[in-house]
Amino acid sequence: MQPRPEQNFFADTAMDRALGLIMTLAAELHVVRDHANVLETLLVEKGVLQIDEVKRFEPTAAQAKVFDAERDEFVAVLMRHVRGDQVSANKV
Amino acid sequence: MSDLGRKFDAYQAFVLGMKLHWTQHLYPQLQQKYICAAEHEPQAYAGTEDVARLFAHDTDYAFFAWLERHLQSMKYSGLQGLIPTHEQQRTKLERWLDAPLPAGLLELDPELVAPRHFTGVDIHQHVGGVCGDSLAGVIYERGARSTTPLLDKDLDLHFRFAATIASYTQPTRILDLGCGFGKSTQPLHLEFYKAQVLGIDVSAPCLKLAARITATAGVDKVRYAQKLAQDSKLKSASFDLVSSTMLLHEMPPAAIKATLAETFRLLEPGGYAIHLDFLADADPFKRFIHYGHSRRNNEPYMAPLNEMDLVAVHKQLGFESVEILPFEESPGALGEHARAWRFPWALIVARKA
Repeated sequence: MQPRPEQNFFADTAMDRALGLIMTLAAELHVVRDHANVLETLLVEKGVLQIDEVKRFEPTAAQAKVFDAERDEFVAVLMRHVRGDQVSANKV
Repeated sequence: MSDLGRKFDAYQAFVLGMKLHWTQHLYPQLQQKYICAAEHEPQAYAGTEDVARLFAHDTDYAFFAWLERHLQSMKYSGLQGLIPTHEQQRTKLERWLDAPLPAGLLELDPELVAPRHFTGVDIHQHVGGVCGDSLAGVIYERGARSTTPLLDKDLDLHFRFAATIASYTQPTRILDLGCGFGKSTQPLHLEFYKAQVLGIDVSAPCLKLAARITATAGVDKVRYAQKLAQDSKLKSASFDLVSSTMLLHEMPPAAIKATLAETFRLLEPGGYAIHLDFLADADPFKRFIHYGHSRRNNEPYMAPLNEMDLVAVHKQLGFESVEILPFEESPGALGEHARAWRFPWALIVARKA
């Protein structure tokens, strides 16, 4: 196995590694956005959707409830890290 | 859409878009910072080490450096990188590469051992290097399409190189050292279509691709052989042009000297040796960036090449005239107002008496 020393460019190695996470996610976000654009374009072309139908979409009360619940759950999981909350019991 | 699918295209377009921004905005931002510092205190920033000190704790430079290394790594090894994507098509690609070729087009040497300087480092972060895996040539070719992001097609610079050679000589027997997948060999053939062209390289996967491309184009004056540039075993004085593109910076100084000596041996009297490579000029900022690129992109011999006195080496070998000139890889690249990052392309032209 050839040596693979880490090259660091920031004062804190954590920054180098965190940037790696961000860039990987950013690239994947772009791929997913592209995929969504292609899907929407194809659905419009095939007459399944009208142009901008996704953009103008108004959920029903029941649909909004589901979407809002999913958003709130996502926010809670994200903010758990900001607050430093631990989900499992652990001995200090 | 490319033959590798929409996901691959979107991912690589993102990486290239980031690299373009890096080239056109982050680099000029750093350069401006250096210019301001040097204008204020010229003596304090006269050397490469002074520039290193200026940027030692600079956040812009940290991002610049990080992105230079990691965008290249993403291109090759990321989720939709060149290596994992080609892996999915291994069987199909290997079958294509191994299909029969016209007789005499490709001569492989299974006994040839690639020098340690080619195999000991994953050059330009191509995991496994360009000599080992059977798909290395295909992956290298695809990666090279976006090596110089400001060029519409990277191949253009090889055509410009061939056209520049024509201003010195009209060769009839050409040897293209370190030809890889034939990136320069094909343009040399098109520029000098009556000439016999031989491309040599140590990498069998690259040569297989070169031969496949040549066979597909129906060209009969180009051949390829697996040989060492510094010890080709070819007949002395059998070429009137020996050229290379982006080869010398992949070699340590001893191998460069051996390659130039071999070049001298292979040329007939009056023949030309013309190499295209990277040589940063005396500007301390550009030199600092170039040496940094050498480290960050796993190109360990770029800096030693830059420190060599290539004119003296050529003269010692017996070449009668040697000149080193900046090479304009695209129109306006050397212009007064050009600010974007670029490789410091240089042309090394030597004539054997």
